[in-house]
Amino acid sequence: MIMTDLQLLDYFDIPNALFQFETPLSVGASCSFDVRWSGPVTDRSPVTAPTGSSGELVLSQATMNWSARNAQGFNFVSDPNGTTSVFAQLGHVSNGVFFSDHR
Amino acid sequence: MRTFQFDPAKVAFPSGPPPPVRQHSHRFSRRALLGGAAGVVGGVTASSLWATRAEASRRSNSAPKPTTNVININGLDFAVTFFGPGMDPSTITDFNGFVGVAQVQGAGVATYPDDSVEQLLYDTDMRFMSGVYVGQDGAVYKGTFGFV
Repeated sequence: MIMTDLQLLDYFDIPNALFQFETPLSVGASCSFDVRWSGPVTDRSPVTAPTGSSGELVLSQATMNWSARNAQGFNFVSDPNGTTSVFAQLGHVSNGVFFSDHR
Repeated sequence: MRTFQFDPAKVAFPSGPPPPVRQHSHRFSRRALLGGAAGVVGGVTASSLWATRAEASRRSNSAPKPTTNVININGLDFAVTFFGPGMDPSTITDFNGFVGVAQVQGAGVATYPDDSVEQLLYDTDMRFMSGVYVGQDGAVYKGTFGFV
């Protein structure tokens, strides 16, 4: 999954992003990222949650390189070395009107 | 210039036509069900939109519907899903397609407006959803979305 110069808003921190109480509330920003999933597949299992979802998922590994900047002049570039794939998953799901509970 | 690259053909999962729409009368209107049924049965095609001519005249919002999984934090409702083994990570509903989620941790270099630098740690939750979905206008679409 690769994206270049995605335009978004920087809310500075998670509490402000959720509850929007700081001044300024946000500033314009952009980010670019390159997320790659890879093997080995360590687990293959059906979707069991939340209710109303079905499908199949596999656990794998992932790496990510990314950078971001905002209108205030802040800039961040990730180090491609030493990343940790905490959780990575790929799959096919069906939910809502597409949900199928057949076994 | 913005580019977004994703190739679901490279994802090694069983492919095939999406299953027929199941009727869930408690979830949406009859018009939404008809809009979905008109487009989904018959498999995935190269077109980005399935709709009858009548539906097309009423189509106004192709945005996906947020997940119905809602959590309340300090009095505010957030439509959000968590991820984990066996958990559907998609953040939209009425969706059928491929998904991916990656939580990656690492470090990087931040540069501030005064040119000072600092090493920072990061922890990301990145997801994608690519497939068929019912838009907020009740029509069926094909699209790819990211959760950043």
